[in-house]
This record gives sequence, C-alpha cells and structure tokens, in this order.
Amino acid sequence: MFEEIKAAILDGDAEKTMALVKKALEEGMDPLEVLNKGCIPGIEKAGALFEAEEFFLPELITAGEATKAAMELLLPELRKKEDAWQSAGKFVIGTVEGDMHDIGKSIVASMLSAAGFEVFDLGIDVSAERFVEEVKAKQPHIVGLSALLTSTMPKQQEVIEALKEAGLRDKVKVLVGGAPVSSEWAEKIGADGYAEDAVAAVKLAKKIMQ
Amino acid sequence: MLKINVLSEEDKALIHDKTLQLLQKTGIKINSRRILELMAQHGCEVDAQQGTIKFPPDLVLKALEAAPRKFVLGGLDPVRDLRMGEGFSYLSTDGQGCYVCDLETGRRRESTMQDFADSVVLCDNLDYISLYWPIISALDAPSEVRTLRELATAYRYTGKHVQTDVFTPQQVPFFIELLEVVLGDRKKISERNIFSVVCCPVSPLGYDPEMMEAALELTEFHVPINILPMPIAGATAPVSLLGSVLLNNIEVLAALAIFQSYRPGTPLIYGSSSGILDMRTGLFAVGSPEEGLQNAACAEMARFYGLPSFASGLASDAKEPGIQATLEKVASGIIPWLGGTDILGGAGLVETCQCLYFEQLIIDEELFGYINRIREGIRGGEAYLLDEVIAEIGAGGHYLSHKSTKRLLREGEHYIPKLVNRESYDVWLSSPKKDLRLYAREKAKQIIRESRKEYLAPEQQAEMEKVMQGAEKALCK
Repeated sequence: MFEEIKAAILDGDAEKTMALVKKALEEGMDPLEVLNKGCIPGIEKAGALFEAEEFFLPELITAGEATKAAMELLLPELRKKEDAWQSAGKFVIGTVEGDMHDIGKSIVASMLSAAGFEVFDLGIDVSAERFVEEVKAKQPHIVGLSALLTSTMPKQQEVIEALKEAGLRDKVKVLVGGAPVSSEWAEKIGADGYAEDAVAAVKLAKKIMQ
Repeated sequence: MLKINVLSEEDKALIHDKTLQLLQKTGIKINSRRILELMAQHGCEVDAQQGTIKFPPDLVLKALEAAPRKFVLGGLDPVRDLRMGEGFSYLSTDGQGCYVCDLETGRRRESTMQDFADSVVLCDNLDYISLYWPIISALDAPSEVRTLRELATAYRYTGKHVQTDVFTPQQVPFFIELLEVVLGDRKKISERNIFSVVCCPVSPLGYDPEMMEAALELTEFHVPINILPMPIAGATAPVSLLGSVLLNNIEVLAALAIFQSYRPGTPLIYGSSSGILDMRTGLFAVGSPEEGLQNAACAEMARFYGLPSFASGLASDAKEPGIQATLEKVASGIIPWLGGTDILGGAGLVETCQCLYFEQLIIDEELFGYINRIREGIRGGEAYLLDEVIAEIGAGGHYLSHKSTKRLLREGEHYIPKLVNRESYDVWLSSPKKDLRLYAREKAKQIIRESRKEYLAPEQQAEMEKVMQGAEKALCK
C-alpha cells in the first residue's frame, strides 16, 4: 500500500493517490504511517529526481499536488488521532500588492503543503496590512512574499517595514521569491532568506524550522 | 520535419546535364593503369599517356542506376546500425585532425594513439554521435599501418560504425584480416558493413590512384565507400557556389561510375566537404556561411539521385572553442542538416578541421541538439494544437500540471539542454556550469576516466596485434 501511494504520487496522479489514502484510512491504517511511509517518501523522491534533472517541473508539480491532496485527507485524521502531531511549520504565503502573478507562488505553496507545512495561501495582490493581519491571526513561523515584477519588488520591503511597525518582525521569518528577486535583494531589504525555486524554498523552510 | 532546399529544380537539372557533358568532354585524371584499363574496357575514352578518362553519358547513367539506394552501415553493436536511405539522419565526428589540446596541460600538441583511444571512448558515450571517423591521427604509429592500428583501437572502444582511410591496395589484405578477427567470420565482413572507407578526389578532377585502387579492392567485401570531394571555391573549384557544387557533383559521379563499372551494387555515399578560400589569407576557410550552402546543395544533389549523402558541417577556423567556433559551427552545420543530409560530419574539431578539443565534442553534441530540434520543426495537427486544453484551463490558472504538458515533454516537444546554463543569476554564480567550456572539459575528462567500455575479448586483441605486426613487417620500410 505504501509503495502504491508512493508510485501514485510519483505519477502525479492526485485521484489515485486520494483513493489509496482513503482506502488506507478505511482499513484502519495509522495516518501518521501513511504520511511517513507513503506520502513523504513519494514527494521526497520526486524532489530528488527533479534535482538530478530526471524529472521536469510539471512532473514535480503534479507530484506535489497529489501529495497536497493526500494531506487534505490525512490532516483531520492526524489532528484527531495524534495529539502530539504537529505540522512541519505554519507558513503564510502571498503575492504582494499590485502583482497578479499566481503560478510561482502557488507552486511553492503546493510544494510546502506536500512537505507537511500548514500553508495559508493569501492569493495575489495582497496588501502589507493584510499580511500583518494574517501574521497576527495565524501566528505562522514563516511568511513568504512573492513578486514577479521589478515594479512590485519594493512592496516586499513595505511588508517587512509594516511587520516591524506592528512589532511582529522578530516573531516571524520572512522569505522572498520571484523571478527578479535575488539573495542580494533579500539582504538589502532585511528579509531572512531567498529561494530561487520551489525545491529550494522547501529546503530553506525546513532549515528554518530546525 | 523542417526541410529546406538551396537549389532550384532548374539548377539541379542544369548541374546534372553539365556533369554528363563535362564527364564526356573534359573527363578526369587518374594515374592508375589498372583503372584506365578497366574504364577503357567499359567503353570510356582513355588516354593512357595523359591518364585521362572521358565517360560516355550512358555509362554514367547506368552506374547511377546500379548504385544502391539503401544499405546499412553496421556497428559492432547492432543497436548502433545506421540505416542509409530510409529517412534517418546521423551525426559523425570530423576526421583526420593532427593536433589535440592536452586535457591536463591545456597545450596544443601532435595527437597520439593514447589521444585517439580517449577520443573513441568519449564518442562511444555521446548520444548524438552515430559514426566514428578517426577524429585525430595517431601520429606516433608508423604511417604505413597508422589507419590499421587506429581501426583496431576504434573497435576496441566503440560499438558504433567506423569509417576510415585505406591508402594503398597493399594495406587491404591486413584490413580484411583485422575485420575477420573483430567479427570472428570472414563472411560477416560483407554482411555487417561495420567498416566504410573515405575516398577523396584531388580537386579539380584528379584522383589518388592508390586510394582508388584500395577502394576498388575493398568492393569485393561490399565495403561502403564515401566519395568525399573537398573543392575550394576560388582555388581548386570555380569561385561561384554553384560552380563548386557542379565540380563536386562531377567528381562524385566519376568515382561512382568507376566503382559501379567494376562491381555493380557497391554501396556508395555521395560526400561533400566543399568550402571556400579566404581571399585575404589565402587559406582554406571552413565554417563559412558559403560552406553551409555548398554542402547542403551537394546533399540535395545526392537526393536528386536517390543516393545517401555525407555533408561536412559544424566546422570552424577558430583556434579554440569559444565565440568564433560556436558561430561558425552553427552556420555551417544547420544548413546541410535542414537540407536533409543523411550524415552530417564535423563534430569535435576546430582550427580548420585540424585540432581536437575534447570539450568541443561535448559542446558540439549540444549544438547539434539545438539544430536537430529546429529540424524536427513544429509538429502539426490537432494532437498538438491542444485547443481543448486551452478551453479546459480557461483564463488564469496554468498548464504546468496538465497531463498534456507532461506527456509532450516526454515526447520531446521541448529540447532539454544538457550543457547550456538557464539558471538564475544567483544559482549561476556558484554553478559548475558558470564557465561552460571548463564544465564541458570536466565532463569529457570524467567520461574518459569512468566510462571506458571494452568491445573486444583479450584473445581478439592479441590476434589483432599479430595482424598489425604482420602488416608492419610487410609494409614498413
């Protein structure tokens, strides 16, 4: 069963993955085991294949989406059964104000979910005030700011400033990403990190949570 | 499949007509009594003193009919067989360079048997290279047996088809003995065609008698012959591109008439390694835009006759890999490849086909990947239009996780580069691919070090050594 789930994830087959996870839960399998022996090895393998240049991006993303679908079934069960269970971390993510670009941010969100993070995706065109409100409300470990345009990059800095003003900056790590963004820019605006793609973003988030 | 024509139908017909006329009126020159007698017997007008042969048009037309349209260039590994005349096209190495850039010191020096062996190992491991033409010469081997020793080393390290030079008829029996050891059976030599020879006319309209006689001997074993003229427009050929193509055509058809008269059905390849003279230095120039057009035109003439073709390309006058090499190799490679040549030659060498840089082979693989993807063109039809997918995704959203994306990527809709760097600036800064030439060189070193495969048993190698020592005794002065 675990091998089947892993294979379905590697295939990027969300429907099959969900069907298998459902079946596993109905048969009374431990959701934590389903997660750790089926889903996580599947998505980790997909990430490794992507890094080895054997998987193309669409194959990685569909594997991520299949895992995310499985997580949606598993999370309520995990919360019910495993009192001590905790997600890999809480992550608030969004594309900054004035920027309508959704895809890159959604891919990162999906890969984070697949990696076991509890992700709150705020969508696109998110104002600094909204980021501050959500950080207050959700109390995430990390907040991710996406910007695809050079004209919207300064909004990442505005969010960081707004977090400072609200007295929240030292309570949350800020990661930035997007095509024109660089580690140099991240440093300049006082972010805690930059990742060039979804795989790097997951790695960085995991490192922060350690 | 994207295919271009560089000659008009009228020009092709004109080249054909003028070829027949010039073969009859002007003819060719070859200082071989044997071939002069042979062609006299077949009704050619022969002047034994001048060494000229003039061909009646009927004989040339009959010879064209006798030449096979299809044949196999076999590999020691049958998976590597090349099927000529069945719509497949292949990449070959360049041939017969005499310098190598040392992988360790980075210095240019004369090439040796060790370099030769390394080049075979590397080419055996490169996906696109389908035919191994000794890319450099083992200059430390005695010249009388050099190509024989090279061939033995080539079979030791590659399962791909090997094409080489046989310079004299006296060498032929040793080549045959060697092939018998490699294949384990004399009969298989003519069945498998694991070996073909290059036969170069001496432009304009001259032929090396010994090389031609050697090739004639090899027809007994059905050895395919690549007739490969190298006319230089403005020097050994008329200055016009069309005139140089005409001369190339005459030189191929004359050799073809000789081989088919001697042994009808001999497999032949219509070759061209045309180029121009650089009128400022007086040197042979390769990698020019003209070269690409000349060799594409010759490949087109081959197709006009239904013959398999070999066209030089991917050539460069640059002294080392870099901007000039890349520019010239693309210019001279893409036109013959789009022009539909069966074999494109040229991978690996720079410095006017004289110097091997091992990293250039890695670079040329990528370069070929690009031009090959261009030739595959835009796949047409509803299956590729994906209008239903556009309807399904609608406005917003993305196509990354759609089934069609994964499927078509795996079918090669996008070429996935192995060498070029498409990473972001930050990643590039610390990427092993920051300097592509260095990266390619390390890749070449790694393959040579780690991926050496042996294709022959130790006993076969010992047998081959005996054959070569016999050849040395008989042929070396």
